[in-house]
Amino acid sequence: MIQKKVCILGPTGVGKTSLIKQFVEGIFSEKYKTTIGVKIDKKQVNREGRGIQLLIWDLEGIDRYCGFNPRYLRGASAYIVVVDQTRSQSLTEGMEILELAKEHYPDIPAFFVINKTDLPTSWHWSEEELDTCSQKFALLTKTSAKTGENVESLFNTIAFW
Amino acid sequence: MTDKVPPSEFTDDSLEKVRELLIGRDNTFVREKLDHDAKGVVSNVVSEALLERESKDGSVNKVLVPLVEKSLHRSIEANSEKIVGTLYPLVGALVRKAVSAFLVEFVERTNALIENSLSPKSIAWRFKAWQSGVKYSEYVASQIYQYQVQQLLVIHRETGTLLHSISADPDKQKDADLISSMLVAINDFVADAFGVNGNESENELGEIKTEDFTLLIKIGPQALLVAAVTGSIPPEIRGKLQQALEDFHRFYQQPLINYDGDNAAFAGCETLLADCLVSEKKEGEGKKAKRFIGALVLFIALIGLGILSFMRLSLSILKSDLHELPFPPGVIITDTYISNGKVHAKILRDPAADDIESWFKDHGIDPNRVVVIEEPFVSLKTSIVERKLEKLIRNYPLSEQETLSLNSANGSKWIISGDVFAATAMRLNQQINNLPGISSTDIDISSLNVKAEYQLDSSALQKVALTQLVNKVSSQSVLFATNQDALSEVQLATLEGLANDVKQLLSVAKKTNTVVSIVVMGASDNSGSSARNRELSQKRAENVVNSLISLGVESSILIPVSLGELPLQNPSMGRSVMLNVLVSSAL
Repeated sequence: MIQKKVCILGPTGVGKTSLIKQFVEGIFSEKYKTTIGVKIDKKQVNREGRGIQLLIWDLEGIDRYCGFNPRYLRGASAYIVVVDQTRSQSLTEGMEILELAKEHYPDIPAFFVINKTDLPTSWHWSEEELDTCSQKFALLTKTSAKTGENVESLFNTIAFW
Repeated sequence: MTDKVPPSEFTDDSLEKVRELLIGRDNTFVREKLDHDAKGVVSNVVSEALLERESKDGSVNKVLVPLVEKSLHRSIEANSEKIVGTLYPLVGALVRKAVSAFLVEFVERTNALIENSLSPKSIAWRFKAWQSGVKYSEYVASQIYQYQVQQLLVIHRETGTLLHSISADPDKQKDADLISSMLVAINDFVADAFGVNGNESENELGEIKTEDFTLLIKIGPQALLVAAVTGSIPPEIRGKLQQALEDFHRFYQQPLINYDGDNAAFAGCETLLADCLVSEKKEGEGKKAKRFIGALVLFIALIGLGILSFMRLSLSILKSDLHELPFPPGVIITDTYISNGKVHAKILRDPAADDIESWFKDHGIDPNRVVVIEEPFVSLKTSIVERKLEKLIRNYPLSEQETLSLNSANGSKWIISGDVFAATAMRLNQQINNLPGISSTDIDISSLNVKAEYQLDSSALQKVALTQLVNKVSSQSVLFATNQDALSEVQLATLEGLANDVKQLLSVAKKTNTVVSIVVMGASDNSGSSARNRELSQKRAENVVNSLISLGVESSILIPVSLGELPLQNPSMGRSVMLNVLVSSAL
């Protein structure tokens, strides 16, 4: 069985933990809970008789006052930067996080996730600006942890990247 | 045209020559060079080449396995004796090891059973385990073991993924991969939080400890070895872990460097790790003592089994002995069986026969081992009848004036002699005749002198005796077959008894002054002519008379008479000789 480490990064409150909960357990909790430190979950993904076990490291919410420990990314097969399309600030912070991660681990593929698609878009970024941002990632996926939209396919893609 | 041809030929030729000069004709130089050092060239790369090809398409194995199998097969066929010789000591050692391992396990299990089943300690432990919400088995482990390595994890250092894990308790193994990742995360956290510039490795966790639980973390260049240990850890464990980690790196160097998340390459590392999954029980001496108890229980059980089977065997032998031994006369064995550790024998025994217990003793059988169930019966065996007769005579109640003795003549005839009063004689006579089976015994009472107790009484008694004898003789008859007058053996034997009675009668008659005549009446049935019947009955009477005379009866008192044919309802009644005794007082 192949095992892959995947890290999830992003500013506080963008729905990282909910995303994982949706993927691993298939549920969405309305209750908000800040992640402290690292939370690790696992889930097996199968395609064409081949199984990959994902070990998903959910890093605590990152904001501009406290950075994150880039060491957590070590040995990861991929990392995901999650932003929240209802908060403009989250994209700025997400891009800062990406820069920091790339600085330490330039070779690990980064996946761009815009979350909360179940809610109306309320940030002020234009499509062009978004395009510019997503150029720096391997892939852009728009998800909803609440409805589960694109969540499964996101992790499936990462598993067999 | 012709000018152009030579240069092209020249060019071709020179190229060929240059090639020949450089590498020789047909690559000879290159080949020579290669041949010269072929061994060296191949030996430098053979292992790597094999490994590379094997990991590429697995074809090396496919080629080698049949070859190895074939040559192994041939080698065994050709050198079977040699191989047997080599394997022999190994097989012996293997068998011994397996047997001793089995015995040790058995003893340990017995110990565990004795210790853990219902001892007060185990009940107390169960209660405490329940109280503290721990599984009983875990509580026992914490109480029994000084320390125990419960789980070992080998973790890839960079990714934090689990490479392999083994556990003393397979139930606990399920979340080892998550634990591994978390452990690495914690390690990263520690290194980050307390790290001194750039010197990260020195700040990695080596140990995480609670009151009774320790995670020992050994860090290698590519992998971590983590041991979850309960109890207090002896120093040699750390050494062992270090050694195992170093071995792991040595054996799996290549897969570790090229690790891409696939654990298949590490599947065989169990043997490396198993050495570290150690434990030590508390109270080393106690263990020995308990092992001794287990061995003792086993030993006692074996001895007990041996004794039981020996007892059973000896009982079976005894049982068959009882069937084969010749039992004394008057005793018949009807059944034997084994029950409650004893042989039971059902026998029929005549009260006059030998005592069975003393007979057992005489034949070397312990009477305590045999339960005799005795039923009385009457034996008609001659020796038993004679014994009864002897007993009767020896113990016969006599007055002071009387004597009685029994002697055997020729081993077959018994002579009763002595002086007795008539009453005694009568009673004795009656009792002798009542003995079952006495008819086949020859008894002579002619030497028994019957005397008068008192003159008057004596004559009266003698008269009674006379009357009895007269009745007895008169009631006798001798039966013949149709148209027969000769006496058969059976009839002769009857006549013998009759002759004795007649002699007694005469002797009593003499004493009582009585004259006796016996009319011997021959008769026949009414078949055939009456002349013939008359003749037949005459002959029968005469034959009886003659044989009585030959048995010692005075001829003068016997009067043969022919009755001729008797018209009786049952014709057989007529074919007989009857006696009638005539008595009258002497003048």
